[in-house]
Amino acid sequence: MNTAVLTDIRPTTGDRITKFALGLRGFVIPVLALVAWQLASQQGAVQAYVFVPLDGVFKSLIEHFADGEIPINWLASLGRTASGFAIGGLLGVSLGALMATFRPVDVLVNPIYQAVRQVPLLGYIPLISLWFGNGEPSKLLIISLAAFYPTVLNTYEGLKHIDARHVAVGRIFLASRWQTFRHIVLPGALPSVFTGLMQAVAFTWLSSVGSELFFNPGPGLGNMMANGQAAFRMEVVLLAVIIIGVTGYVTNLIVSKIADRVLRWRNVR
Amino acid sequence: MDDGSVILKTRPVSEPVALLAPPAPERKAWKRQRLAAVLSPIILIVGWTLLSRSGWFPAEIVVPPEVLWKTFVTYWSNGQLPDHLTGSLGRLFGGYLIGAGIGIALGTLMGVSKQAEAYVLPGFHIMRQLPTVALIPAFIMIFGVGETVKLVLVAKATALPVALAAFQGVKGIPRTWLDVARIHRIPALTQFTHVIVPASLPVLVQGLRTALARSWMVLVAAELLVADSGIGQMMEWGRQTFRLDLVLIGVVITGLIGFTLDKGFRALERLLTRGSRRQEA
Amino acid sequence: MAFETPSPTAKLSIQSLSKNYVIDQKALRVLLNIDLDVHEGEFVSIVGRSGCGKSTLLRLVSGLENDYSGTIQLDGKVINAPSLDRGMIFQDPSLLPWMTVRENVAFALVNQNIPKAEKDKRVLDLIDLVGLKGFESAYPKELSGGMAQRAAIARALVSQPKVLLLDEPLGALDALTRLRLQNELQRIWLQHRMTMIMVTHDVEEAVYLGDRVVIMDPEPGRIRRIVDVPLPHPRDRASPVLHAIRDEVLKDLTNGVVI
Repeated sequence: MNTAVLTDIRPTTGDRITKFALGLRGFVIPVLALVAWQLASQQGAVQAYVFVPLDGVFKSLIEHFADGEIPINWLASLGRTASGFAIGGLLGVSLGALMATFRPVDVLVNPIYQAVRQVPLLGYIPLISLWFGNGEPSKLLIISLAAFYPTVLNTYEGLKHIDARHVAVGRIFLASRWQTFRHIVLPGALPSVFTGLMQAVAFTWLSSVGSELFFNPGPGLGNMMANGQAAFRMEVVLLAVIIIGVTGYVTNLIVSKIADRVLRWRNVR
Repeated sequence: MDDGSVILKTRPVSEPVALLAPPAPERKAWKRQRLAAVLSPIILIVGWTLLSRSGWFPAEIVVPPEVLWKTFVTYWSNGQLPDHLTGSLGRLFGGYLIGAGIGIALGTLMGVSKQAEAYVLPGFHIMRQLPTVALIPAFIMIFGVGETVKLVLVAKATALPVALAAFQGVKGIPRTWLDVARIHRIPALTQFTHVIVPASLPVLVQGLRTALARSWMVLVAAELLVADSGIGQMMEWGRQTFRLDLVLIGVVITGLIGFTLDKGFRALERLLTRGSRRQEA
Repeated sequence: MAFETPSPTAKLSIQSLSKNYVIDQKALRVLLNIDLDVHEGEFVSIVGRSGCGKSTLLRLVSGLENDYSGTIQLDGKVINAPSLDRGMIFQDPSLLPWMTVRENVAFALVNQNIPKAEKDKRVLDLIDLVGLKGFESAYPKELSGGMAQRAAIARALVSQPKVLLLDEPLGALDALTRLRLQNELQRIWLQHRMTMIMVTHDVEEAVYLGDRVVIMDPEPGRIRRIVDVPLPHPRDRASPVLHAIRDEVLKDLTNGVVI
């Protein structure tokens, strides 16, 4: 082996261009789908109702941004998600920790938690609607539950499965109970707690939109979609879908960046 | 429930340890736990009964258990409840089979072919960002309010996680296993049936189970919005006519179905992945 | 013949020690009638086949387990709980992954009333001693296996234990790192002159480092024989005496069984 061979391994500009070009293959199918959509919209007035032309979607984006419809609904959904996340996450982490720490709580609450969790979240909507009405509290309840479920479970699991070797380290160095909790149990459970919080972020966003679809009054992206559907304005519905997707993607990205920072010691392979 | 990906959760070798409480004698604690597992539901039911008798709430809001039972028996014997059940389950399994078929095919294709992966995977990641529930209105506009839209929604909710699980299952096969097959000049088809399929099965089955739970939720949501039959529609009708007994029965049945599907699938999972677990042990 | 005459007072004294585990309501004898005196400043190696209870013996001495019959005494005091006068090193470095090297080493002093300045100095001195200078702020995931074990050694030493217990400390390392860390252990031992008891699978390592090598038999775990290694430290790996003793231990250990 000589050095020439070694240097050849490094990517050249040409390699990078090739790699970029190969990466473009992923866009072939999405672009084809968009073209098909656009073609479908030009087949006639009836088709154009469903397959609204892409330039129409774009125009409507500008328009509804300017007239405030998008910002108002978007912020309403975001705010609702944040409150539900805060309420449900806080309660969920607390209950999970209580269950993991105190056996009586675990024994009494766990079966009920498991039973309640079997019902798909949105399946509770008719019940909540009858008990609490169709207003803001009902939406918030659904969203909080969406944050509550995964945080309870993951906090509980995280605290229950602390590595026995790490606990032994604490014992060897005579750590007090508080020190064991502070230096071993808490950081040891943190990755799992974060997993729960990340699931909660994704799940609250989805149920925020879902609850707005069902509980109509008040602004929100779900509500915007429901109204768009009722008025048969596909471009509004599509816009909402796109905004929901992008927002979900971005929040996920932010949360996982935060997790990477807080858990930078974690060995991710 | 989460963003649609199936992540293999592996834990470091660890054992549950009683941390802040001294370890109790195991057997005794286990017995107590069994007792409490039935205790808390009993407390719940007794509490519910007492609350319905207390007169603090009208019987329409906190329905007494005996009324619930009567409604259940009536709706079961007059055939309405069985109709709703078969309606929902038929849609669920129909859409699920379609979605799982598409998912397995696409996922495996992406797993074995680099070309397919390059073309299809990015599109998949875009689709993953769109929660199925948020697609309900758009799909209703495209597919109408009939049976099709529910099948499509269930199929969509199934196909994505299944495809990703199949993909990850194939991708996760250790290189050396495939190398062994190649060194021994095993024909491609045999490689597929004897290495790729069994090796990726555990991950795939896990994905199939997650997908089933998720499509059940999507179907219930869809039935709440647009249906003329099904458990979701029954609950929605109960809501509109202020029949809380029907809604509660619907909630319990929805939960039971979710629970049964999950348990059934776990049993199937144990059966199918016997081989790989034996190897781990 | 020994390099240094061991102090006549037995530092660690184990007398008729037995230990049973109960599995499925059946008693499993792990250790039977162990008698062993370890002198101050002595390096004792323990070898034996799997299941001979050598790790259990070490855990009992550490106080991590305290359910036994017989006596274990350190300086005349009965051992029944972990204490900082006995440091312990496992095959797995068992560093806390969320702490840097420095924090990990300092964790050994977590419950000690030592002024912060002195604590910091001791921590940094030991990191220096094990050759990890420059890696104070590294997380365990950034360390190689050998470096992680060095950090674990620093952590075990920072509380200035009288006895250091090593449970296959180099078992998970590659051959070269292993040789290097054997020399390091010897250097640290010569510098600090603390009592060390090491369990190992590697007969060469046991003979190279130990003043005495305890050979144990399995099922139930008991001492078969204790071999003296009457060579001064630091030792020469090529020494014919060393090789002769190694062969003898190996022969005794395999006991005619083909391995």
